[in-house]
Amino acid sequence: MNTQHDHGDADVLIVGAGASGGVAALELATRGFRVVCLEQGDWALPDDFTGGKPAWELTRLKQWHPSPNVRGRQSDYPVGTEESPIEPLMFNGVGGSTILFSGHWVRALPSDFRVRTLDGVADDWPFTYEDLRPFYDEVTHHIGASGLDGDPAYPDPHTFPLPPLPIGKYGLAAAKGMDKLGWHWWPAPNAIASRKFKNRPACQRYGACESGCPTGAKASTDFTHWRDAIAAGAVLVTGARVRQLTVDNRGLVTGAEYVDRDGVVRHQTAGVTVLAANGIGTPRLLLNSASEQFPDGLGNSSGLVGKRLMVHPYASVYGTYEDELETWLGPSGQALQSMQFYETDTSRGFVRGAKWNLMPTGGPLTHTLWEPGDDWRAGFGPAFHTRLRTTFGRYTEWGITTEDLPEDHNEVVLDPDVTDSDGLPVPRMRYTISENTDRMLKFHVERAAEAHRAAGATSVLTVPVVRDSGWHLLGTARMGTDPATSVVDEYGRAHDVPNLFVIDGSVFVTSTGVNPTATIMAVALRAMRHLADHRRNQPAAD
Amino acid sequence: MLDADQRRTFAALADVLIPASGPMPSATAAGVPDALLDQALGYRPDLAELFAEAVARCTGKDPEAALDTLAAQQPEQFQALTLLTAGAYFLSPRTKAALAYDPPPRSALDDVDSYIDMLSTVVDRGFAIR
Ligand SMILES: Cc1cc2nc3c(=O)[nH]c(=O)nc-3n(C[C@H](O)[C@H](O)[C@H](O)COP(=O)(O)OP(=O)(O)OC[C@H]3O[C@@H](n4cnc5c(N)ncnc54)[C@H](O)[C@@H]3O)c2cc1C
Repeated sequence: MNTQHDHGDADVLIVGAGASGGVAALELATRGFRVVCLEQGDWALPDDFTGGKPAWELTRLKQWHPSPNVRGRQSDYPVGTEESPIEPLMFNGVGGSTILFSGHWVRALPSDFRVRTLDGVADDWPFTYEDLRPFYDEVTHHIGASGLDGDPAYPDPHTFPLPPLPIGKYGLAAAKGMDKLGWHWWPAPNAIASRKFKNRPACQRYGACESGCPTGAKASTDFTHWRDAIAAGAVLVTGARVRQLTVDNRGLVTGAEYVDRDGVVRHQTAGVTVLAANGIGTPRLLLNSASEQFPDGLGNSSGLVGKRLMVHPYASVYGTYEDELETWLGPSGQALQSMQFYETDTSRGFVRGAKWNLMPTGGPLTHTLWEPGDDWRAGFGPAFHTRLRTTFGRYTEWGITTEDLPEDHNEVVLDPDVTDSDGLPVPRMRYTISENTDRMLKFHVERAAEAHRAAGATSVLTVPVVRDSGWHLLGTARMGTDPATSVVDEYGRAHDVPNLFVIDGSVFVTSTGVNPTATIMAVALRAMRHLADHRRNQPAAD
Repeated sequence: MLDADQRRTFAALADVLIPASGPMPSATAAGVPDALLDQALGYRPDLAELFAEAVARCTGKDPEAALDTLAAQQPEQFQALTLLTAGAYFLSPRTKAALAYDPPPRSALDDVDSYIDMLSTVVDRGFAIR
């Protein structure tokens, strides 16, 4: 195959047009950099999504499923999961996984950045909550998040540009239960517009956020960043699957080799390369970019590329209510969140904690799904109607996002035998749930069941670990100050390769116990602003 | 597309899976074995083969006993069959009318007034920030 060159030289090449890639493109393009982004997927427009249409409930289980292994689009790559109890979830296209994200827009808490100091486990981050706070504020106001100021769980009464979304009948019922128990709850912050905001209309409560927002109200980065970045001059190349980063004899990265939709191998040169391909895609590329100079993979002298994978094992606790609570209404999205058991209390038998989110449960079909092994008469035959009557509109979920701590044996590796449709080795995920997380899950599941009962639930169903819950892919190219124990510095620059940056969820030092995208985007903004501010000192390939 | 025999077999299975109950129609009364099944298959062409195999396996057998065997021996086929049956059922105007609910779209106006008093208790309780 011939390698072709196009799109001209770039000051900065970004790999991946997702959450962090969008932040990088907008920041750098508006600061005058010539930016090219290579993205393996395509644009998706609100009308492409099936939410609110008859096809929705059937297609969300296949064409818009969050697992690339189920979706199997040309833009997807398979991920080996035989050695993991959790499936990795993502979307590959402009907007990245924010296309399918639920939009829970949650800041980490100050303690998240200091777990070694406070709890004697894992490592502290190289910066504090206070350092990140202005970037959280900026991103929150830029994307148009909806929420209510003054949550006492945070040290600052941080603000939102839009009022909160409705908590609905189901939110109110749950809030009353939490109140009886004296537990923390707050109307939840969401990256979903409750009013028209910039180029996005208000949410219409389809509840289809996780299969793509049909109105465009959700703050996916195709809306919040990419359109403006392109207007500012960034070039976004879709259908471009990067297979390897290239290096020169000085050990600088010179850009990337990629395969276009016609199978043609092309090369994009750039002075600086920024990886924004998520916690699985980024280590995959670094490992696949091994060369004579970098035999263990690019930027991997620490041996930590692909290691320390964290995914926030997730539990669901469902309550059934006698009253009809309109639980088919969105957003989905979260109605409430609780930080009651977020901070460490060692008397519980584990360190760290989890964030809870109260969610609706969607349309009627979701209540009638049969899984292999189920007794079919429990959900079909006369029981079909009994189940529907007791669940549809009357069923809510307390979802529990647990903080898993980094462990070297939880990792992303390249499969030596299996390749994707472009001949690139596919990543495999090796993950086990630790004893600490296991105890945490059990504790939280019991508490969430209490919360439902206090709210009047007539029955409670628990799913102690949800297999399809690997939507937070973190830690596989961690940042830190010491090149021996981290891959990148606090601004995402690779210790080994001074013109290579990583800015996606891979850089997380610990996972925090909250949904990570607000943090990913704030960290990416901090890194890219630093790059732009210090461009004169930034080494670049010729 | 299913032929008439296949549709007859499927209709019998579908009515065992979803019988009538109170205001809720049975699968056939809802129109599932006709155009709605084709509509559902149109949304999920990936299931067409498993579905056809499921129907073929159940042909000429007592529907309930055939479903028992299918669920135990061919879970993927059973899953495709039940998903398409229920998926088609919820597309039916008769089913929707019987469910009597008010689906989205709905305005996202906030309802802070309904909980603001409770929220002041949350604030008063405070939170130990570390
Ligand atoms: C169903 C679901 C629900 C979620 N809900 C929430 C939530 O409520 N709140 C929250 O905070 N987070 C949520 N998340 C997680 C959130 O979407 C991610 O944390 C976030 O998008 C990650 O950002 P990123 O920049 O690391 O990567 P991504 O947004 O995943 O972007 C990576 C991009 O890189 C591209 N790419 C990868 N490899 C290559 C290659 N070789 N060549 C070219 N392009 C490549 C991909 O196609 C993709 O577009 C959810 C995720 C899913 C899937």
